Amino acid sequence: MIRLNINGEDHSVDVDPDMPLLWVLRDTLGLTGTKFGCGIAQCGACTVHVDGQAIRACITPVSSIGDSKVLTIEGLQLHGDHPVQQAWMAHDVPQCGYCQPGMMMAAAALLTSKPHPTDADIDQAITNICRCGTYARVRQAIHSAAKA
Amino acid sequence: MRLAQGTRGIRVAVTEDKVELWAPTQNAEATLQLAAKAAKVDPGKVEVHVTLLGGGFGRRGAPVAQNFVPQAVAIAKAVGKPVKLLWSREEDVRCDFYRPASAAKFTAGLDESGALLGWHLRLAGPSIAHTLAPAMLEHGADVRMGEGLVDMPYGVPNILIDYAMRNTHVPVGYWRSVNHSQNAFFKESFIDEMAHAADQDPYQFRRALLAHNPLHLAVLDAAAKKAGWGETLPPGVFRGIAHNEAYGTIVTQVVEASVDDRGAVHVHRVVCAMDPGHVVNPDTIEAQIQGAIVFGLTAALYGEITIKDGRVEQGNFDDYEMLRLDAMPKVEVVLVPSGAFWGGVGEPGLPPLAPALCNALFAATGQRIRSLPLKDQKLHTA
Ligand code: FES
Ligand code: FES
Repeated sequence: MIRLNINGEDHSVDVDPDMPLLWVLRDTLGLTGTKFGCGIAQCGACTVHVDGQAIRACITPVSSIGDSKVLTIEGLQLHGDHPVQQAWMAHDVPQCGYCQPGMMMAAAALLTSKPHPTDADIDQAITNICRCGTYARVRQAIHSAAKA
Repeated sequence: MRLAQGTRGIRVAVTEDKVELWAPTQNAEATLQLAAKAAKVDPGKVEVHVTLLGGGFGRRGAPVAQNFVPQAVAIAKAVGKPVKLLWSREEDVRCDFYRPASAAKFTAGLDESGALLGWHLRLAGPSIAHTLAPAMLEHGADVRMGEGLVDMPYGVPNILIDYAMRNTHVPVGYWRSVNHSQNAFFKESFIDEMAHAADQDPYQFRRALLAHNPLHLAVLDAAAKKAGWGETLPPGVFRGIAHNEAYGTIVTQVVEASVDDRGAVHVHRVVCAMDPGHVVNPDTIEAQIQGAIVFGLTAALYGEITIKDGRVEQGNFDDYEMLRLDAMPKVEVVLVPSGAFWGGVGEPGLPPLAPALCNALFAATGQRIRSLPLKDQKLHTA
C-alpha cells in the first residue's frame, strides 16, 4: 500500500511503486482532470503540483511522492474561484480543452513563484503544448490573473 | 500530422442485447455503423455517447479513419468485459491518415506591362477521396484535389489545370483545410514569384488580378491597411502577403518575420483579414484564427513525416516538434463581413499562413522556398 495526500485528502493505493502518478490519479483514483498527451514529459497535459511545484505526472513514479502534497486540477479551487480559473473564463481560453488542466496548473505554479510574471517569465515557464493554439489567450489570462 | 492533444481513445461495453460506446467522434453516425458491423448486430442495438473530442482536426470523422472503433469492439467482445482503449502517442502518430504529400509545377506568361496572360498548373499527389471515400470520385477523378485552384478568384485570362493522381501505400486523410493547405502554398508562392518577375509590389500585383472582384479586394485591402503595408519595419523584419478563399470565406494574411544569424525563422506578427459572410461571435472567430495560425505555422516550420522500411519514423513530441507559447506571434484579426453567404471560420485561416510566411522569407533572404517544412531549409540573412 502506498499512502498519498491528494487535494488535502489521504489515500492508500495498492499499486506498483513504479506506476506513474498520472495513471494512479486517473485509473486508480478516478481523478480524470489530469490528462495524458505524450508520456515522455514533453507536452504538459499531465501537470500537477507536488508541494506547490509543477511537475509532469506521466514520468513521476508514484513511490517518489512520499509525504509530499499533491494538488490536481480538481483541487485547485472547488468552486472555480482561483484567479487562474477566473481569468481563464474571462478570456475564454479553452478550445478543445484537453491541454487546459495542465496549462492552468502550470500557470498557477508560476503565479505562486512569481506573482507578477513578465512575458519572458511566461515564455520560460509555460512549455505545455496546445494543439488548438490557445497560447495568446493563455498569456493574456496569466497577466490578468496576476492583477487579480 | 494532426497530433490532436488527446490521443485516440474510446470506451466500449458489449452485452447480450446492446453495444454501448463512449466515443470522441466527429461523426457519430459512422461510429454507430462501424460498431454495429464489428459486433455483427443491428444498428438499432448500438448506442453512441459522444464525448468531448480532445481535438479532431479531421482525424475522427471519416468512417475508414475511425479504425479505433472496430478495434475496441473486437477487444471488448474477445475479453467479454467493458473496455477502455487509449492509444499511446506513438500509435497515434504512426497509425494515422496523413496530409497528402503533393507537388506542383507551374508556368505562366506575363505581357510587357507585367499583366498575367496565361497560367498552366500541374499537380500530382495522392487523393484523400481515393483513400477515405471512393464514392466521391467522379469517373475515377478527385476534383477536390484542385480546391482553391479551379475556383481561384484571380482574373486569369487563360488557365489550364492538370492533375495526376499518384496514390502510394501511405494512407492520406483530412487535415485542417484539406487540399487548400497545399494548394494555397503553391498558388500564393507562385503569385509572389510572378509579381517579382513583373517587378511589381506583391500586394499591388494581387490587387490588379482582383480588380473585377470587389468582395476579394475588400479583404485584401483590409489586411494591407491593418498591417501598414509599405510602411517601414524594424531592421531585419520583412513582410509577406497571401490571399485565399476556402469554404466560402475569403482570407488575406500579412506575416512579419525575420531570420536570425543561425538561420532560424522568427514570426513576429500575423495580420488576418477575413470575410466569412456574417459574424455571429467575433471572439470565437478570433480564437479559430489564432488556432489556425498556430496549426499552419507548426506545419510550415516543423511538419514532416518520413517513412523508412515501410514505417513512420516519428513517434512523439520529441521527434515531431510543436510550436509552443514562446514562439506564438502577435495575431491581429480584422473581420470584414460582406453579408454574402455564410462561410466557415475553423479552416480558412490556415492556408494563407505558409505562403505569406515564405513570401516574407523571400523578402528577407532572396531565397524562394519551394518545399516545406522550413526546418529542412538552409536560410541565410540577405
Ligand atoms: S503526458 Fe506528461 S508531459 Fe505529456
Ligand atoms: S485547447 Fe485543445 S489542445 Fe489546448
